[in-house]
Amino acid sequence: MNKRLVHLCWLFALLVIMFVRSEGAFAQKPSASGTLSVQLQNGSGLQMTFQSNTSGVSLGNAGTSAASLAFGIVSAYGTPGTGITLVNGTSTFTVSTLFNIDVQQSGLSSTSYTLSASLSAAAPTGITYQIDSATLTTSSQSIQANGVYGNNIVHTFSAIVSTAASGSGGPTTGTQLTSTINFTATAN
Amino acid sequence: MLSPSQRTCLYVAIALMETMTGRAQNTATSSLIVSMDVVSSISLEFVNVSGAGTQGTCSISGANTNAASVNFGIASLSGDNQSCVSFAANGSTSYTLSNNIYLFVTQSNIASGSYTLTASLPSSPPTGVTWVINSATLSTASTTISNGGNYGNNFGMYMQVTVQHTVASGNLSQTINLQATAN
Repeated sequence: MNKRLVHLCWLFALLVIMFVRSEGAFAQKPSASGTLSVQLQNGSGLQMTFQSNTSGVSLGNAGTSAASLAFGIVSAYGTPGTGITLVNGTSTFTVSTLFNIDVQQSGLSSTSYTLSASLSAAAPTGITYQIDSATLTTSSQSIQANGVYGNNIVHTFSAIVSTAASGSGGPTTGTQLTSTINFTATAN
Repeated sequence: MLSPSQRTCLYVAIALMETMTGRAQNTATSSLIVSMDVVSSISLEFVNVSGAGTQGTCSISGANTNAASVNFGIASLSGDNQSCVSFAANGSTSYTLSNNIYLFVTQSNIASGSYTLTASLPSSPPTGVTWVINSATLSTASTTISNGGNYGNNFGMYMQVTVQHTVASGNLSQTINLQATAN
């Protein structure tokens, strides 16, 4: 009886050893661990695009930050094109149109922006440009001090044209006159 | 090896630089190219002058536009029912109505000091009816009224219509086309 008990005891011990070895084998399967450190800094920035106004001239490249606005042929007593308003003055006539500026921000606590504009070169002889009520020059002019982000804000572009003849203070006639207006939106 | 004060100064400088960098990024720029082609133009408008409505100068409808009208009323050898129209019977053979009509011509972007005014009738008037402006008899051909009109000044046209007694009663309304051309 004791002998049989001893055999059972040895058998149990053998099974325990096999089990432990088996566990050890599992524990020794190849493995690797690692830690990935992801670095991201949320910056801040503004994006400005031009949009056509439904009552104004259709812009070229609308929806971008490099658009174009073509008045076509203008004259004091001709019929203005679609979206163009013509007003005759004493010694000038003014053609104007509406356009939209959309400024979006990200990562800013600012709730408004300041819009300024300038001409890349002096306006053609006999022509004065205005955005809203600001006359444009090659120096930066404030257009709006509290523009709201995410809105298509309507602005008026006007060209005040002298009725004087070319060479007498008036613009060159019969040729396309082109000017570039640079806009800057700055977060307040 | 930086001292504590030097280290503090360095930290402050770095912080300021980061702040300035952050501000510089908070702008957006864009450009709009504007183009136009200015061409010369002339405007011709009919106007009412001071005294319009008195005899010799009827008031016009459509003043300050280029499509006006004037009413000479009902006339015959015995007279005209419009007090602003000057009436004259030419014996018993015809009558003449006369009236001053004014127009105003302006120019833009033209190196021109004057304009030529011409007039024409779109269709011939009935036989026995003659239209005259400033002594020039009108027809369907272009007739010069003035070759030295001054821009920005009222130009008076002395308009006359003579109707022979042989003309049947009826509507004698007449359209007159006027054209100003820069000299």
